[in-house]
Amino acid sequence: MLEGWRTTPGDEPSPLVMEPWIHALNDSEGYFIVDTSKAGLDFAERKPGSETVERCRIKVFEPDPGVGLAMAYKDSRLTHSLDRFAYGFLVARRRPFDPSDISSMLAYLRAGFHPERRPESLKRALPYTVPR
Amino acid sequence: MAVPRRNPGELEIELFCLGLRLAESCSLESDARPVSRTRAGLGSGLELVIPGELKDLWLNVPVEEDFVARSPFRLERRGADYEVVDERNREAYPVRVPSEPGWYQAKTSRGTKMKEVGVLQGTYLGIYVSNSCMYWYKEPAKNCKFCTTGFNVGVNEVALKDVADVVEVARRAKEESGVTFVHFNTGDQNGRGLKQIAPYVKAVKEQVGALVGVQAVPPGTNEELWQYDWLRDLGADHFSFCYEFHHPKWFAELCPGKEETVGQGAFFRAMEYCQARMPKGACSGEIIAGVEPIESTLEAIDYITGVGAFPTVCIFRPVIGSDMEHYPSPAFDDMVRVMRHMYRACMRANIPIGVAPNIEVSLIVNPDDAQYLVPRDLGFRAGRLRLRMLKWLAQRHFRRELMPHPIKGSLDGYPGAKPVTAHA
Repeated sequence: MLEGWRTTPGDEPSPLVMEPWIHALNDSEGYFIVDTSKAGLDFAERKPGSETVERCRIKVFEPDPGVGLAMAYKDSRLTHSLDRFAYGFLVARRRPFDPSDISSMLAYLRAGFHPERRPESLKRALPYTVPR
Repeated sequence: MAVPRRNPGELEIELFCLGLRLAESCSLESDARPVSRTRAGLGSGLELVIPGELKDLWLNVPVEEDFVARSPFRLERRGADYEVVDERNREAYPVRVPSEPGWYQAKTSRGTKMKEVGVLQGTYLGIYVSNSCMYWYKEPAKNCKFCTTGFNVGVNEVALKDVADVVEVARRAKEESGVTFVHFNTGDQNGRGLKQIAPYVKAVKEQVGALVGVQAVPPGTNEELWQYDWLRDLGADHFSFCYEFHHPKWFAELCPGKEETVGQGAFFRAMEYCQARMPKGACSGEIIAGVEPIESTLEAIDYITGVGAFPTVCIFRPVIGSDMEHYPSPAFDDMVRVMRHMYRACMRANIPIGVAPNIEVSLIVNPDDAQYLVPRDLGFRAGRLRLRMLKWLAQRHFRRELMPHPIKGSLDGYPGAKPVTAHA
């Protein structure tokens, strides 16, 4: 289930990029919180009974029209650091994200980015700048 | 058994192994250098200085990684000062938190933020010339398993560094932070790494005046080793060879790109070639301790000092985001054994350690940091006296190198070699 997702009028992301994620998150057994202070659809899981969200995050955004990108990452622990720790990137060019890729990515997120759960389709480098 | 109070060298090693938690009293956003991943091999931590009676020790202590949450060490602020508190025995150790240099937030004439060009790592300026290590782009990826460099592209860094930007940053770092050593580093560049670094070396020597170090994947064949002679003509003072693991099996498994493109032997050939042509201790072999068997690490240290180079030994850090993030951090006792061996091997081989002015590398246990780990007997005192004399004798050479001066080498080519083209 997804909580907190909203868009700014005039800044709606392409349905091609976002809709498969929204559906997958709403249908998932996990409970996901969107961080609306960050660009794109940026979310983390909150485990049952926990007050806080997990450190692992996924950011879905559209660097170019028709290009969907999802980055698995952790934020810095330090309040004064802007560092982000990326774990890989899922790319969908001029097509919706594959539901099985999204499912693998969510399983990876919920497993704390454990290397054994790393999706095979995850890229290790990307030619785009990731917005904050 | 109760944990005894650590001496500065032991504390440095244990902080590398266990990391440091930050108490709420810390106000690092105003007091400290920003934690930076500009060169995200093994360093992603907080820069600290441990004062000591033999020398002060610089270290980049892990703060981001998940294992840090279990560390008994906590950084606390007491008034204007900081101390590391060991919760196992309530011992407190005064430390300094180096402040952010004023130039970090300044911009170059071209508008690039200076800290995105280079950062201080200890007391030297580290510049990762191009952050696109080609091992990351292969399918499947061939990156070194402990590294996270490729994940930074577009996330935390600017890509290719401009030569004019580098000169401006090096000049400010020298003037304002007292930097004497600029180190250029690059990942795999399809065999062009050394050529890529060449214009920066010449520019810094001629326009700034600093000791310059170079690190790149070495050429795969002996016929290409002339590139090191060319770089020396362009002003390079130091070459480092990061072969990481001495045991061939561990090298192949954890550095698949290096294994596939040049092989471990290329690092040995290049280091032996360069060290044979340069003053003792002008080259270094870089290894990671705490992953392969300790005996292999000790063997590496003996090999490196045996060829006249000095060992730079990193304590393995399961860096956040790396393939080895879930590996355990090394055991303190093992690392003390390694570093003690390193110090003794350097002294035995007469490697001049701690002689160059103001070079403290925070990502490693510097060879002379490990003097805290040995008994202070007659041999110890004689060794220190010898190093002090060497330092005095080398002063004139270093003074000259720290002045901007014309360089005889040319970027257009090297006698007897194929012409090369500067990329920037």
